[in-house]
Amino acid sequence: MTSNINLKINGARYAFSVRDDETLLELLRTRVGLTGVKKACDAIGECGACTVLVGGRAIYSCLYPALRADGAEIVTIEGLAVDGGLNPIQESFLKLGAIQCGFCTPGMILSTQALLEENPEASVQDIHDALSGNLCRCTGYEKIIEAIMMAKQTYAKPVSRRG
Amino acid sequence: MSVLESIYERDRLEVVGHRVPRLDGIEKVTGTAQYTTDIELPKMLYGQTLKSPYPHAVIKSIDISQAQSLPGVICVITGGDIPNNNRVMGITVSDQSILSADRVRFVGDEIAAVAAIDEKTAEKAVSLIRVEYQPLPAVFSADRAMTKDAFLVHDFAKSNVGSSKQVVAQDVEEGFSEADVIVEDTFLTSPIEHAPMETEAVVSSYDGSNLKVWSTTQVPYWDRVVLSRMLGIPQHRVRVITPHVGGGFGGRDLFTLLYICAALAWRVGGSRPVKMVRTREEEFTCSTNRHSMQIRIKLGAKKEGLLTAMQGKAIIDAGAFVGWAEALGQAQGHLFASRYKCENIKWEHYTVYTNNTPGGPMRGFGNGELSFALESMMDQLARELLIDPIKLRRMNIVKQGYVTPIGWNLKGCHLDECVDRVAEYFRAKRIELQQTNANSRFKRGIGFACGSHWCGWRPGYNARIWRTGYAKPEELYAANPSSPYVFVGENGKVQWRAGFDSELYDADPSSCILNISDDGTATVHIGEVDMGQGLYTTIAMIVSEETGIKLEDINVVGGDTNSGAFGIGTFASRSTYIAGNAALKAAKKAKEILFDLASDMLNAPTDQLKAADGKIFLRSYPERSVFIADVALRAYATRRGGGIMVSSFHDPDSVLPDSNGKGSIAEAYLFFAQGVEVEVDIETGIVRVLEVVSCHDVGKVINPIEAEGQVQGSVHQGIGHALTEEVIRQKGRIQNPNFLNYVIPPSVQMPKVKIMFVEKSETSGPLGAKGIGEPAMVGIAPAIANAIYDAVGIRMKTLPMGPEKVLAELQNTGSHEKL
Ligand code: FES
Ligand code: FES
Repeated sequence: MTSNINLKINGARYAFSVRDDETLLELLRTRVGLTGVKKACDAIGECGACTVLVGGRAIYSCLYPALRADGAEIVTIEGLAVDGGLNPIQESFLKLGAIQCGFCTPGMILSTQALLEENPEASVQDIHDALSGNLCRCTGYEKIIEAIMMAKQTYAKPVSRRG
Repeated sequence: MSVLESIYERDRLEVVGHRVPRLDGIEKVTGTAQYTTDIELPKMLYGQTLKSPYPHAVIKSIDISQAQSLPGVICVITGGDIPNNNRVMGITVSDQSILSADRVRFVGDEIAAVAAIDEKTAEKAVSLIRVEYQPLPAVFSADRAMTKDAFLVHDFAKSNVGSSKQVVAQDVEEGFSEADVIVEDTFLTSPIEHAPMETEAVVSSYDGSNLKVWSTTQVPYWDRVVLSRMLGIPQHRVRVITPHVGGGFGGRDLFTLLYICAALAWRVGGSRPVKMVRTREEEFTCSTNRHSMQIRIKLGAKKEGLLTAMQGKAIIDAGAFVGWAEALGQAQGHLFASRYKCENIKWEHYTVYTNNTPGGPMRGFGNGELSFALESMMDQLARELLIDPIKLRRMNIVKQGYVTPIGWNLKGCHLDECVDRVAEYFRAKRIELQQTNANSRFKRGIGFACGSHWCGWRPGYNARIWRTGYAKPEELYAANPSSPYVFVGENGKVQWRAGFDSELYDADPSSCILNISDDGTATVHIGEVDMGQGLYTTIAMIVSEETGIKLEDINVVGGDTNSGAFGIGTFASRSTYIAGNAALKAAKKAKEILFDLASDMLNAPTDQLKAADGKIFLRSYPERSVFIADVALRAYATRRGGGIMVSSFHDPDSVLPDSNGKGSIAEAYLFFAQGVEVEVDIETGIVRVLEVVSCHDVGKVINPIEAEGQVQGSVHQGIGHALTEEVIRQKGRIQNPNFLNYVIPPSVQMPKVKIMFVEKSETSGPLGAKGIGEPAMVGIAPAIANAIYDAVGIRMKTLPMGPEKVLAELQNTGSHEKL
């Protein structure tokens, strides 16, 4: 069975005919070519590398039927940069060295984006909670948490708030 | 130092030592970084393998006909289709084939491979391959495998002990007879999984004469050798490329999938790329896990604390193939003899075949396991002697200038300072804890560990195996009579050809090719791979520091064998130190050319010039300057020029171990001390790590961001090894090949890590640097074990130290009281 859906991905409009069992991960990676959406477990919700934003919420795209995204606005890591510059989270990850191999990075940044958009005052505990579904094997998390705390300052100030 | 020199010295390090964000960071935060997993090419095929469901069985027949006739299947191969299937994988023993043809030895052993137009078709085809197995008795523990009546995993071996060797110095028995106190115990460690976030991925194509491979490897040049031997294609026709890599941690050192995929592509031909990506489950079950080991340690000391004898024995479960296990046992012997000053040493190591997943190297290469046992025993010894554990270590540790009984020449060693700084950090806390623990359910304790590690490693591969896959000419001749490496002599004996006679590959080399373009930007080729640790940024910083070319004007290209910059690979904490030295040498040569031209332009002798920030200027009068871009243009656009293309090769001044296994295997060594504070819940047995302090003698830190990152990541993996991670096997079958049941510590369980660097410049290092890839993982498990003892008085001897084990041990001891 296939169905027709309309999506907005990183600001651009798309129409697809999707299989019932097609995941958003599959659609984004193989049909739209957004390979910044990663997969680090067997697409069973254990790694968070596939995290994308659907309507501003961070979801595991590997468990999310593409069909369900009909009409939604989707943001992947490729769509996060603003006006050719980096988003504040991207910038702080870069500056503080919260990246090593970078494979977990897109998911980490998008989970953070969803958190800070919803709660610009997020505490360290909130950050741990928000990242509990995102695995990193390289960094030991410390610099990631630091980077998020740094990015948070930008989100807390409405003037410079973006995104 | 003259006044002038000190002025020159003043602003010496413009780049090195600064917190530089990694150069590939923008690609990584914007999602444009391309990993092997992301490669999609026209007319691409997808590969899959058939794996053994049995831990041990004879393959009686393989029928691929049904699979072959499935629409969409382009190619099916078995071991018989690979020209040199049997003799290309071994490090010290050739016991592993690319695809197993007549026998399988572990669950997940790969038998056949399929290339098809999509993944589903490939999977379907695999399910259509019919294999007739005859199950054989299997053995799953090293202990059991070593018994006389155990069924043999390999017929060629007389027992399941793949190798047994010793490292001996002086007389250990005499040492024990001089001791006032002797302690002895046995420790067990579990297999763990490297678990890099990107699973193994390979893309390969063959156009009839050139083989191309993109992959997540950490040793591209090594793989080129293996591929060349495997398919009989000369090295200049084999290109191995490593794009961005999603981690490795040692797991890409025995990379079966890479060879399988290349063999498939070679069979498919026609430049049709074949892509293979492991599932997470396959990553656990088909590729290597960290070895599990049993280590027995016996220490003897005088009552004042000086060690008189050290004896150790490791039994390493190699799994189905030896792989790196024998080298690892030897490496442990080196580590065992090079931490504490003791002349009487005996180390034995046994590599044992079982029908478990093959073991492979992982961060620390046996040092984590050795340290767990040895540092726990040092703590135990301290308790017996009633000496403070730090004091006991301080009294016995190796010092600068010492030559260890195994031959390590410790030219730069600041272990004493590492131990002192960690001790100092926890001094007040230790006193405080003695009061707070009494009536609480949560008992806190502090534990320590210290040690040494290498920075590069000169192990000495058999050069004939390296080149041909065979150690004996008769065997090579039997397999391939037309091999150019052997001939039949007049006496009818098969011999190696004249000139092909070197016994050992005696080198630990890296090289660099540096080109400065006519706009003053530089391309730096190295052989090693940035696995995520930030190597390319480090190399760029070294080149920038030396040549004055701005960081953003330097492009470091690693891991592409077509560049010609040979490097033996990214492992053994060697890349910054050895590839960094190669890069520095090349940078010096390039700078000479630049200065030569600039000296004309500035009308000043070269020894009065300095380069920084994209310019060359007079040291005494920096306003008089020229842009490097303008100097570089002259190198290309004028008759006097000659271009700026230089190359370099660096092989450290290390020593191949002799027939007794002794030698200074590295030119520089790393030293560390770590301390940990834990809290043990005596009701649940849960151990929480509250704080870690990690102090490292690393030489000059090139990029503090990346050096800290290596420590933090290593500590995280060390906590996993210590407390939560374990590949659970039942009759050789892995029970938890996923992140739900294999528990990598989540962010919330990560304690604060206090990092300290003892930055004493290493004279042999590039701009004073050594390395930092591995050691911070090494001391965590023993420090935690010692902290648990400090908190609740139980000696944990098995990793991981999960709550059930802690609880059981607490109940065994029958006392929750702190000793
Ligand atoms: S791919 Fe692992 S959670 Fe989606
Ligand atoms: S940076 Fe490698 S997994 Fe997070």
